[in-house]
Amino acid sequence: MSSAYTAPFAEAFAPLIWYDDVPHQMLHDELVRQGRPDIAKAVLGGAKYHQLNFLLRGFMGAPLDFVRKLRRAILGSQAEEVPDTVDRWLAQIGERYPNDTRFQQLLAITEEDVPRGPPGCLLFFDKEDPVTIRDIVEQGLEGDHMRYSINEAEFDHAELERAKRQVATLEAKLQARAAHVDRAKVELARIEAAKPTNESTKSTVNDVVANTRVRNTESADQSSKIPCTVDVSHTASTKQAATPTTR
Amino acid sequence: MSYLKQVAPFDTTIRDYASFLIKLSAVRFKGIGSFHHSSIHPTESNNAILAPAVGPLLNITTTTYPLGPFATNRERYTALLNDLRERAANRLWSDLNLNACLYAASLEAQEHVDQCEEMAQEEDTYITHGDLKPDIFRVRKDGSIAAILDWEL
Repeated sequence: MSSAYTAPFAEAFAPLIWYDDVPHQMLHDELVRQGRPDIAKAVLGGAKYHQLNFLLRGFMGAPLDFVRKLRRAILGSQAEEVPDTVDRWLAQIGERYPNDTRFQQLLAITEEDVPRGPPGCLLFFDKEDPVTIRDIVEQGLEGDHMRYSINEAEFDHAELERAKRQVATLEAKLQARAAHVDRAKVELARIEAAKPTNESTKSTVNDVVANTRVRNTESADQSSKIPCTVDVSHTASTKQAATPTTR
Repeated sequence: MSYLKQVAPFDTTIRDYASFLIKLSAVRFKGIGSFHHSSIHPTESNNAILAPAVGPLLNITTTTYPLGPFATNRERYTALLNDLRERAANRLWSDLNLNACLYAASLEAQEHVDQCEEMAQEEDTYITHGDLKPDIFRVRKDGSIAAILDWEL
């Protein structure tokens, strides 16, 4: 749990989890001094709730240490000693619950039965249609989880070849595109080189205006050879272009 | 040595923490769960006050949906331990041995829960912090508690 909740008195006043007992005893004594022996009692009895909530979060640490602390927190001095190995403890619980098929399955499966995945890869199963690792191993069921397998026997070499071909095809297409882009860049550079600058544009307009005047005033023969000659001295726009205003 | 004992006059921190617990003990609720918006709106006729309601227990570790609210701790831990066994049986943890150990520990814990009379009592409930570790405290140099953080109410 990570958010606040409501709990009965004995759990609600279980104190912070300190990693030794001295603060718990100090808090107990202080609560007694402040006139609340009931809360003080809850402080010293809070360990069982700590252990249960560790377990619910999946935090066990060393399993036998955890079981020992859980038993002592709940049963105190009457707690039975835990077996000396995890396997013996699991076998002991297995004997107590022979009809719990899920637990018996967990006990029966070994590491060798489990398809190996890359580090950090968790296997999740559809709760509505559960496929257990035992099903996969015994019945050869296939599913998305097999994609994570790195066992040589289960590795799909054909899929690897398909992926390699796909990469090669895409790379060839990329190279063809790159050549096309290069050609387009050359064309762009040629066009940009031909583009007049702003200064040259002004002078060109002025030149056109001046040339037009010259043509109008020089000879009728020469002007008649130019089909698009304009008498710019009578147009406002050309006047503006010829005599730019200063703003 | 704990975190708090290293950074401040610890008896002052303990005194403040004890006072804080005493204040919390004055506020009572019904049921075990998390706080939700109340559907009861105060009116002149119902004489209600605006307060949060105890609803399902918000728990990031459960399989699918919040469980509860519960009347007793026995009900609550039975439901949550069942859920833990469900997760372990489906091998939620990548360590195969951990799944078996968690399943076995939950069976053993269930035995204790079934026998614990304290957990069978239906009684008033109180606010408790869901993450009881020392770094939720902000402590002044003199050891007094300035704040307790991270309630996620």
